[in-house]
Amino acid sequence: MIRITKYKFLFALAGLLVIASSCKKSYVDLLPPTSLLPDQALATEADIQVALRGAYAGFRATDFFGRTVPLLGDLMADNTYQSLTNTNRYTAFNLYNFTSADGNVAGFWTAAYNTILRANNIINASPKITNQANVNQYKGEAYAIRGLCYFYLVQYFARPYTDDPNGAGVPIVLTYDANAKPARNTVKEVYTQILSDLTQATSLMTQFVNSSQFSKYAARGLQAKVYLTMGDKTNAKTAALDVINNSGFTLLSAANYVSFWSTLTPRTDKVETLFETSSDAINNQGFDALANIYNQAGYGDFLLSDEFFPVVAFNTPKNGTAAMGTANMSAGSITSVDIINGGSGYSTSASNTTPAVIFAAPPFGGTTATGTATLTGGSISAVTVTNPGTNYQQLLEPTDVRRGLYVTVNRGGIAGIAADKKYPGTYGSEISDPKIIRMSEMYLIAAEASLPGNEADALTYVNYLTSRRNASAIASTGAQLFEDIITERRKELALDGIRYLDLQRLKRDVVRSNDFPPSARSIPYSNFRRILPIPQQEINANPNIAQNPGY
Amino acid sequence: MRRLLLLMLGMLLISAQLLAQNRTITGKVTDEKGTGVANASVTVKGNTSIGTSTKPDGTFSLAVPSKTTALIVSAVGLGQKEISLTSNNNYSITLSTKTQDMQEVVVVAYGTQKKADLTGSVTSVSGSDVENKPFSSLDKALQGQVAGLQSVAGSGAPGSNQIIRIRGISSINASNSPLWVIDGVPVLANDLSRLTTTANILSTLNPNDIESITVLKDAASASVYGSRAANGVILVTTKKGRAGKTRFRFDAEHGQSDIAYFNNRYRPLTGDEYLALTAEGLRNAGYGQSTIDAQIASLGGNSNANFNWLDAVTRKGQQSQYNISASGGDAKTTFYSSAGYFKQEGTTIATDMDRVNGKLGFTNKANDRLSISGTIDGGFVRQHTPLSGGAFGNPVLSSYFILPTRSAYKPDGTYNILTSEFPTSSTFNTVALASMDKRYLKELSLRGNATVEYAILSNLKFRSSLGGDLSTLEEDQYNNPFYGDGAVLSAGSPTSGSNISYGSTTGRAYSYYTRYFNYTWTNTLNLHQNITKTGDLSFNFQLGYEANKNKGYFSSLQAKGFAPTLLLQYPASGSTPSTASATISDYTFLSQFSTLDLNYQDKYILSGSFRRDGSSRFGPNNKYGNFWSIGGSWNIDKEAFMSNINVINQLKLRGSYGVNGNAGIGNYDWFPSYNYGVSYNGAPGSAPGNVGNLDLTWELNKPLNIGLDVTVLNNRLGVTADWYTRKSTDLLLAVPLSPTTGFTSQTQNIGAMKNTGVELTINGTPVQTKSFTWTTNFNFAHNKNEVTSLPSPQIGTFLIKPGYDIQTFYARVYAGVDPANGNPLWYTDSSRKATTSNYSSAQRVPYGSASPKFFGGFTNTFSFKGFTVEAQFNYQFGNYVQDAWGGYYLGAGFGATFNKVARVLERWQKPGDVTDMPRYVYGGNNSFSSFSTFYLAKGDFIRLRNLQIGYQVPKSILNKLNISSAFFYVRGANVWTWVKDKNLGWDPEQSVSSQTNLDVFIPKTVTVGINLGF
Repeated sequence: MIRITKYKFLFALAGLLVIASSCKKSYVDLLPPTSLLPDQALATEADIQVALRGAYAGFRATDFFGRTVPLLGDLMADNTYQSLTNTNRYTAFNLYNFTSADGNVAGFWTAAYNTILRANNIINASPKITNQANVNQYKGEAYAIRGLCYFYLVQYFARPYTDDPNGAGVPIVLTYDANAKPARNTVKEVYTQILSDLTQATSLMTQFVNSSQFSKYAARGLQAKVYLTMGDKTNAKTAALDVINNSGFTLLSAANYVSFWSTLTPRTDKVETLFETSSDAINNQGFDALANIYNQAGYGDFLLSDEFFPVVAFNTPKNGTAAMGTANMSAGSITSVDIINGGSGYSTSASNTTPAVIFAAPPFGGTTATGTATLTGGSISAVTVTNPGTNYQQLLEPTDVRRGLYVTVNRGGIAGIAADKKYPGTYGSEISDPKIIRMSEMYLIAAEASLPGNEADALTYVNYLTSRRNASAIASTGAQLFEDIITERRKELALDGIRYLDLQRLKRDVVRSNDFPPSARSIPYSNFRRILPIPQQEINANPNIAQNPGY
Repeated sequence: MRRLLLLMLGMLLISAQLLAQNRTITGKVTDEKGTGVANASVTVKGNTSIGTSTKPDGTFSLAVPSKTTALIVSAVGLGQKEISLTSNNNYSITLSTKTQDMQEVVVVAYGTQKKADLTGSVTSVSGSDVENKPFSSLDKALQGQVAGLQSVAGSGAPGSNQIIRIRGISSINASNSPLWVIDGVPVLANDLSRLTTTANILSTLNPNDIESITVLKDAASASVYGSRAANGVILVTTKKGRAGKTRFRFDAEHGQSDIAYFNNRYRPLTGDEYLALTAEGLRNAGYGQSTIDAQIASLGGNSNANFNWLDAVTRKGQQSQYNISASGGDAKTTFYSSAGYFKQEGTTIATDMDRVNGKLGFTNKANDRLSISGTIDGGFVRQHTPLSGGAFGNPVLSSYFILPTRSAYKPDGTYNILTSEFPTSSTFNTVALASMDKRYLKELSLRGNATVEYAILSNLKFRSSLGGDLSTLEEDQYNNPFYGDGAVLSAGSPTSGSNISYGSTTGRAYSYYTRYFNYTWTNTLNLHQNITKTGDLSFNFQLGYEANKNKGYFSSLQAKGFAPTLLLQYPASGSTPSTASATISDYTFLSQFSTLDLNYQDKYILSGSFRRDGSSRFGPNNKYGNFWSIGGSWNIDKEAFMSNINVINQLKLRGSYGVNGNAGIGNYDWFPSYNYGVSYNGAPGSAPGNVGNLDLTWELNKPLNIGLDVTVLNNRLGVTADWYTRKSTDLLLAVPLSPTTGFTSQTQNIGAMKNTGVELTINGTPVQTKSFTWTTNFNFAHNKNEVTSLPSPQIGTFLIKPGYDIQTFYARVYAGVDPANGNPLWYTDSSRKATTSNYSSAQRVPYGSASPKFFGGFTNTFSFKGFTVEAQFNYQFGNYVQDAWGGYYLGAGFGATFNKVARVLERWQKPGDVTDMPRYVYGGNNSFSSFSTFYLAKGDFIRLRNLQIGYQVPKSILNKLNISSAFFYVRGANVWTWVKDKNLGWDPEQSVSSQTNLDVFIPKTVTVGINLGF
């Protein structure tokens, strides 16, 4: 009996061991459930389209067009400043004391080259083709994406082409090699590559999907910007006019100027936006999106310089809502205040709720206006200006429709201008998309590139724009006309991240208003921080790359 | 595999033996005083499945096979004794405390071993040392108990994760955590949560169910775990039943906790202090009076509030636990079952945890060859844990950042959530959020195994064990639509006042479900064979096969758009689903292993192990690896020349060397991937994810250990000393790639480091009289880490560079304040000759380490009649602690709209002032807020980890009540802390990296409790 048990057991044991030994080698071969190998991911025409979307999504990174790049375009110039009440983001750029270890700079560099890799993989792919036109379109878009990446890299990390074409640019990477440690190409080589990519893009693309994807004329518009940046006015004007005359895109009218910015989804109607980077309600940067840092409903850290128009705000009653108003000025002094919303809960009898009128200080020194409020039933009904102040500025006239994008705010007890209506889509909804290439700029390029030779053309193109903004027509000549066009660019493209790049290509000093920290109001063109440092991460990993001087 | 089968068959064939006849042994077990010992265990040597327990008078009767040569007799507290059988069938056996150490059996890898036969470095902790402690998991109770084992908390939140390092840090990017093996099954440990700030799956295991814990530290003891042994192995054995009368035990405990360490120089400022300082800061920044007045007013200058946020977010946490167990059985079947309840509140609002757990285990001897056993234990943990670090919703952050001029409540007693006082860009009123929001973890863990043991021959045993653990985690988070992270202002709303208009998609809720199923099937064959007829020379041989698979499943839901109520808190109530994701992640290990121990007269022992592991985690080019160890020990006390030296009870020299691995890497790290989910305009997109590496494989670890065990003076004093060095090579490193490639790094097996150290454990009984006993335990560990090879230095807060400790801080050296103008100064370089006020001009230098130079614990226990006093201290010396958020509350005006701590008041104010706190400038003073040695404080501390005063009620009283034992106690945990550095602002226990993260304060806890046995 015992023996039988033993043999039974022996059989059981043998059975177990057979099961154990039948475990195949595949037991230790597991593949990830959510990824494919690159070859699998780029095998067909449809795969290329999927990868192309991924390349566009690369633009959305917070440190790329998602926030940092468009933000720096105004902050490093004179358009936007960091409110004293802030979340400490980009303080180093407000103060102009950023270093090579800066996280946003590293993020910009990394995100741009990561997007370039995505584009390179599409450009270099040999997929199974069913429709050649589709593949041409996808590859054309990838060329444009790559061109755009290099265009912004070279503008921020290298001295302008207009300064020295043979200066150090950024490394040109066109094929994937994980072990490459490329040196910097010259600025000229980078621009040559950008122009080559954009030529490929315009010749390959035949389709228009919407404003969040490149089309032939979006790439052509980018070409106009590139030529202008290189100082090649002839080609800039030709390209801009090609877009104006042949693209079918139209310029915004005065009537729909403000509502245009509240459209949060990509456009298919070919109005104004040649190219933007798209976020939707699900795929977005959340709190880290550009809109959130401008809009007072979000972080609201960055405000528009008081140069744009004089600002008045009101204190907040403890239990009620604050009043809102706009200040009118004449010859640098405040003449009156229009009450937009009288607020509620104000009282002169109880403590702490006495209405206070807060004027922003004039942007470049002078006397701050003061005023007193008249109360009617808890609301402010009128403001009497007791001291008109001096030296107030007003880039945007009261009639200018572009003022409609801004609201005056009382932030930390200080009056300021917020861009709540330019970037209305903040976290929690469809997010406002940063606009990268707009029709308005095509007209401004055409105008600027007409000078100095053709003032008539310049006036025609710039006033085509001003007339659609309810702004006074420009009538100046000579150097003043050029100046007025640059100022018009500042007004039209404010908060689009373009102002700083204008100051770079024009080799101008940055002169910032009193809204900025006292230590960082004058940043001469010669300042080494006028271009960003090559990130320390790149320096550490790549012995062949040279740092920008000063860092 | 087929070879193994053949081998086993061969062994079966040579082993035809007839079964022997039985004989019956009787006897009596007594203690040194001659009193009968009840419930002592009596088993057959070499076959523990045959055994019994003594009766209350100490007598026993046991039928044994006739070929039985010896019995093993053991009793709790009296150790174990081997009784050689002669023709006599009746024995009188005396157990004494002296016998304990000599014959002690410890749990080792894939079995047990007599302590005297060990060749490796192994430390055991008895279950009684971890039970009834006010800690939410057993790993927290290990702190200070094992030489060379560093167990530190990052957070004081109940149920928080605990970090354990054994013999230092061996890896930069792979895991540094030991392998946990519970009842022979490798299990998942650490934090499995995805949404919760900190959680610990081991908190589902009741420490009161632990019989013993064994820590394997070197090659000889751990290498048989192959590619997972590099960071040491912690073997947990849970309680088993013992034959005899059914014994019940009941434990109850209740207590309260408070902040363990507080430095008054780090108290938040009062409202008046803050406003005066801010006005000074604005003036120093060059702002005019009108701006200053406006800014002060906006910072609450007009409010009369002076609110103490620290008081508001901290509290005295209540805690209690109840455990009941029953064990017993007969000679054939034994069982153990238990149930427990544990509840603990943290020192910070919105932190608590409770656990309900149960366990059932049985062993059955089907016949004298076959035994089966099974165990299952389950624990269900519920836990609330607040956000940590820089999150606006972190209550600890709030207590230091929110202005004292803002009150948590409005005058009418409702929560103050006015945007005029708590703008969206600022920290939240977390007192309000603690009641309005929810962060909830429910984790359930079931661990179990079923084991069959069959004695093919008396000396050849087969064992097959299928064990596993199933863990599910349900994590729910709700952010209300009114205020905080879930309240999103509607697009474009004017915000100049408090008239918030909320968007339609406000309020959000998350539900994350995580499931891990992990099984291990282990088959072993054990052969014990005498080589010589006398048995002087014998060997133990073990052959094993193991398959392990871990399957993870993860689903994540998020929805937003909640109705304006606090009552609807799950995603189903939201209008817009925003995350809907589910995926899996699996790994497998397939292993063959064997061990061989050669023993000559218990004098010379030679051991060896070999294991071959394959794992899905490794790249196709390096899927399989071989690991081995060799060890030897010399029990010098057994030598003839020692026989006259009575003072020495034990003298043993040990040594081992071997190779094991660290497979603690990501499941698919080797895979060059294109990832999906990079959508654009709602359509699918793809992008390169991981650069991949087909050669990726385990890290190698080569430990060399030399140890000495000495016991003298009738076992009154025991010393164990170990010296080790372990070289870790093929370290997984994120080798930086030029970001221009599109990737920033590639994981490669490159780089090496070395840990060298000594460990010392002293156990002593300085005083032992009839009524008074003093026992003491002291352990000490010193570890020196050095990175020995790296392709390029990795520079962050830590400098990782050959020649330096892996956790070397890399910082500009702070040189104090310029007395002339109040600006901060840093030394320009390591020579410390010149100073600069330009932060960028100062070079970073290697500065100290976050790892302690030495650490350990000491315990003294005094027993007088029924009273015991036990005091366990742990200590750590020689590390620095980084105040990672110090820039905000110490940074000389940086983050000016946040509150500051009292130390800032020591600031420079006028020329000639000598201080280390610079002039306070609104917005910051010359990058003072950036990391420098100013933010490093010495981490040296001694902490009274456990203080217990207890009373054992005399048996004479208990017998009348039919109770076998009753013990009352008062216990304090972390009740006293000494730190060396007065600049240390936070608790010295800040995880392994010694960096503060505004986590829940580590508690000190005082409890009273009772243990009853009947």
